[in-house]
Amino acid sequence: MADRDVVLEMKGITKTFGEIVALDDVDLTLHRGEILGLAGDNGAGKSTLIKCLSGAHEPDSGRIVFEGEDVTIENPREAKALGIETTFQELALAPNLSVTQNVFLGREETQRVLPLVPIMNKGAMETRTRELLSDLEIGVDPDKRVSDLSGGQRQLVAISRTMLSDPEIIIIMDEPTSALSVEAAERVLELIERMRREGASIILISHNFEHMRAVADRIQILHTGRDVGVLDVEEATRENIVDLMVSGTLEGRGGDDSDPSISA
Amino acid sequence: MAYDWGAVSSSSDLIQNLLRKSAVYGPVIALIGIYVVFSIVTDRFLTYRNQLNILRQVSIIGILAIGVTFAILCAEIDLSIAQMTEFTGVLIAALATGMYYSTTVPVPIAVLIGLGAGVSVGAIAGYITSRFDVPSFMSTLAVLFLADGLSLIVSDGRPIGGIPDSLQVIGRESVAGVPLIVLFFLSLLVVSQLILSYTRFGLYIYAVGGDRQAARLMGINVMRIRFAVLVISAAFTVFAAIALIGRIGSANPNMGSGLLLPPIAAVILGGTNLFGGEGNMIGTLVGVLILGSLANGLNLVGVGPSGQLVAQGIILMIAVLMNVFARG
Repeated sequence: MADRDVVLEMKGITKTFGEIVALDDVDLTLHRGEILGLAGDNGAGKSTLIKCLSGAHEPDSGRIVFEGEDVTIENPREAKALGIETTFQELALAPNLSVTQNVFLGREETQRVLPLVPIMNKGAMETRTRELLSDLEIGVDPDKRVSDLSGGQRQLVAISRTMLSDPEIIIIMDEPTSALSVEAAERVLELIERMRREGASIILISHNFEHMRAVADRIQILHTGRDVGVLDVEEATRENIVDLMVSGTLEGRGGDDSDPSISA
Repeated sequence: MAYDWGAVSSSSDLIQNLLRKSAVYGPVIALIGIYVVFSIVTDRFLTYRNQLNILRQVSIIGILAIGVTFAILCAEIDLSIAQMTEFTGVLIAALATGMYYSTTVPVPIAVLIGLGAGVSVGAIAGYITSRFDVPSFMSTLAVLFLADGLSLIVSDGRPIGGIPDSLQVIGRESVAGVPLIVLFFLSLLVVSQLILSYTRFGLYIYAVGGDRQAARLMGINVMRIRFAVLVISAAFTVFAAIALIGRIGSANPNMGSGLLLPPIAAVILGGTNLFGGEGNMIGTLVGVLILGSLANGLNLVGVGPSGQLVAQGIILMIAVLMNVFARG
């Protein structure tokens, strides 16, 4: 696992909001084609960490190394240009636009009617969206407004957005299964597995250990803004995760020394 | 097989759909109602001549309303349109009549300079709003004062007469009986609707107006879109100024009085969401025609300007209520 190709590293990320230290010197390593779970209590810094990666926040200090090169990500557009796609917990979709418009927003296909006038190729985008949704077995009408969809449908639309581009991307998912029915959550987990098979490297934030353990290769735990350990999924028992989440150490198991899989 | 996620709730869906449809069709029904009533009450209303008259009367408000529609769709507002019309109008007139130079500036150049000045001042509001997140009702309020002052400085506080004929063409001439000002207004409307419907920029206006934060997270350059709509709104004040100069045959630093609120009212009457993200130029045309036909019809049946204002106020109040209720 350690020699696997590293696609992305965050090193010493610190982020404060006024007096509050949201992230304190946090490292994160993502290997190519893996699913890295990110766990932690509310306020542990999970969302803040991934927002530094998706361009929603800028870290105060620390480095982000993407494909071996230092990068700065100042806004979501720069993240997307690198191939980092995010589905946010607050589900960033345009409620007043259709499913197709949301899937393509920011990268519409255009054609030129006159030499200088690029217009949107609505037909092509709708066809492509229909294909994508049917390929992913998502039964949502591409013409429907997003505000008319259920929470589960919106989550699937947000995910299909990330699937539109090059499959070998980094996908960050913040609580993709929360507030979903059991059936819908299973659909989402299937999609996550599938995206990994197609070449994506994925960071998955979830409060649901079972969902995370079902798909993740490794699980990193944050505790009060600090990075307190990374467990391979075999060692990531519920107790181990909870210990790290609550106290920041593996109590009664020798603490940091014997912590089997802490990676740098 | 595809999963069936079921309808959220069919009855509330139905009500929501009906309400949303009422936001779209309500203005059209209101306009038809006005036409039916006045056609019955007076036979002078529904004549070709009178309809052209209405169109000519609403053209300048309509041109400004198109610009403001761009802003409101993007959840912005432009309060400077009337004073910007004055500023760019007197600037173009001053240049074209040779107020500043021994020789007059050719009309096309004067118009280009006016357009450049209007766009530049609009860009100040656009920059302040998009870069520093100052609400546009504040940044454009500042521009309102700025443009008011500039128009007094440029005109020296006096009306500018002796406008060259070529500068008055749009506001004064007709083609095959149809006033050029009406054709000018309708062409601008059509082009604007095409931009909204078929370009990425148009779509991004809706995305930013619907949910600015989501649009940003989805990779839209929100700053650029907010900047652009305020610049566009400023550009339309130049178009309105050119039309207005020809219509009144001169330019003066008060020529924009009464031109701030009717265009905004027309946009809202046309069903464009007060809070951005929904609406279109066809709605704005309908809104402008509601204002124009109501005033014209009341005039024909002998209701004076004060009564017309009361009627417009009532209609606007109903429209605003529908605007809010229709979108929950």
